[in-house]
Amino acid sequence: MRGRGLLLFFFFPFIGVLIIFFIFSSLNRSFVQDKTESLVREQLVATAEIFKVNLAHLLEEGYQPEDILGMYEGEKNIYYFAILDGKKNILAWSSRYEGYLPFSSRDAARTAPWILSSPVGKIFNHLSPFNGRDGEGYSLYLGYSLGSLEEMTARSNRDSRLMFSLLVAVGIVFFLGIFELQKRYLLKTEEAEEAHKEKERFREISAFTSAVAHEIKNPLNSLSLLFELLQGNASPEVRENAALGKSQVQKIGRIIDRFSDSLKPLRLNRERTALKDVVTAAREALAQESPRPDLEWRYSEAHPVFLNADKNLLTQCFFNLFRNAHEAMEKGTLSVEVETKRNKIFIRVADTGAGIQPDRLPQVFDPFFTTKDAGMGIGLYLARKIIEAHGGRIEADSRPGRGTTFTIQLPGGRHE
Amino acid sequence: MKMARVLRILACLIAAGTAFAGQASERQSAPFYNVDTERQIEGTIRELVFEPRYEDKAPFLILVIEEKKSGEIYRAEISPAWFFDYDLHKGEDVRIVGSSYSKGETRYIIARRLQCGGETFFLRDSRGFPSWRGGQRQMKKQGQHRGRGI
Repeated sequence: MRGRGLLLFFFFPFIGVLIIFFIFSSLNRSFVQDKTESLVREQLVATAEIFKVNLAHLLEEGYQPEDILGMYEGEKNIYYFAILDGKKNILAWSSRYEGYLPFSSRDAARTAPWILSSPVGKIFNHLSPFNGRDGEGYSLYLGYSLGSLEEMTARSNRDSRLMFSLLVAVGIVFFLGIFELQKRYLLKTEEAEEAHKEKERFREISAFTSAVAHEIKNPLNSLSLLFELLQGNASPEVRENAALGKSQVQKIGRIIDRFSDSLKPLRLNRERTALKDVVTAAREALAQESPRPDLEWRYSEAHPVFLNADKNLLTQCFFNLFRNAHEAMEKGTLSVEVETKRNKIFIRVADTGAGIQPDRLPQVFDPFFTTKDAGMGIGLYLARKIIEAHGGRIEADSRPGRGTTFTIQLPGGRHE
Repeated sequence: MKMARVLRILACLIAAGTAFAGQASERQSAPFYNVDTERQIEGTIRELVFEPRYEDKAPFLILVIEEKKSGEIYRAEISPAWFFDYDLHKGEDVRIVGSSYSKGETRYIIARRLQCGGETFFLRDSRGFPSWRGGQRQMKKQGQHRGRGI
């Protein structure tokens, strides 16, 4: 998915979700605030009614309005209150703040509660008339702190902001993740496309070279027969040359056979195999081909490791690696270390030879790449092909003058 | 939670409403800041005194002022002494906006704004809320100066 697609399918919907959250949250907060305010208003009006009954009773008992004030002081949410006569003149009042009683002649006509803003927050004001037992008219003026409501609103706003910030943070992390995934996906796709192209090119070359090899081998066979006939019928001095010619033609044939074999796709014949047996078989084959008594061999594994693999191909792979090491050192140590980790087998084949120059290291597994005069550059290529056919991978690490280590990673493996 | 808060408020109110007997009764003798009686006076300071106000919470600075126009004497309530940090002197001219009232023969004014020596002091807001009780918010608005305005 490219940038535009990502924007369309992820970014815009996310922004949409944020907007919806913001609108919903604002509406919800406004609704809850209105409802709560209305509820508080109703409750306070009801409370004022209770106050008035008490006041009427106290006035009837003969208490003076000033005396009654002291009974109501101390309630922390009441900022101020006053008792007014029938003409809305203030008979007595009390306030938490020196001289602060925001009642004016304009307020005398009010019948519904009203809210005032002050430096200490909103104050709910309520003026309601009541009658004393003697029938005389009075009014109660009450100023009640809405601090709790404001605190609740502030907390709700804070929570909403926090939620919004969290959503944005989660969104950022999510998008960073998506971008990273997309980057990796694109990289993998490019690699896969590259590998596919390489495979196609190799297939074409293989088909072409197989055809060429086939065409060369026919005349070579004829030539070999011809040398054989010549060898039988010619004079002794010519016979020797004919034998040399025949051996050279046969050598060309073997080279072509190896070349053709290396290009053929591998067909695995898997069986349960002990890794140690495979390594031993490869080592013995090499000892038979070119014995080197001065070479020290080391093999270590914590427990016997078994794997499901093509024994012959794997033996061929180790044979090629050992021969490579063999040719790289005059005398020294060739060690094989085996360990298993999380259903993976790690095999390190290390020699103490001349090593490989760093600029040549990336090419060692390429076909027909060689630094030797006699080599064809097929051994390590074939080793890699065999390991990859088993679902594994092989890497080379080398320090010039100190030796080379090939690390093979194969799936499976089990101790017994 | 909201309902619980409402019920708590209600319970507090009912508790306050039913707490009668045994409590010491404190009378509110001082007049309040009445916006209906707000006026402006210009005069000269004749005397500076400190008097208790509002249930003796703190001594208040009181200026005895002779109004220029009428020659009448006013006792102007400024603010608690700790809040007002400007040196006033006898004979200085002042202009005061505040709520006036009379008690017997004496005229009083609760100052909201005081102008003196080229400076203006905001002592209360437009509805009479005292600046010294506004907390941090109010103090910040007034640039941290106690009683000193713009």
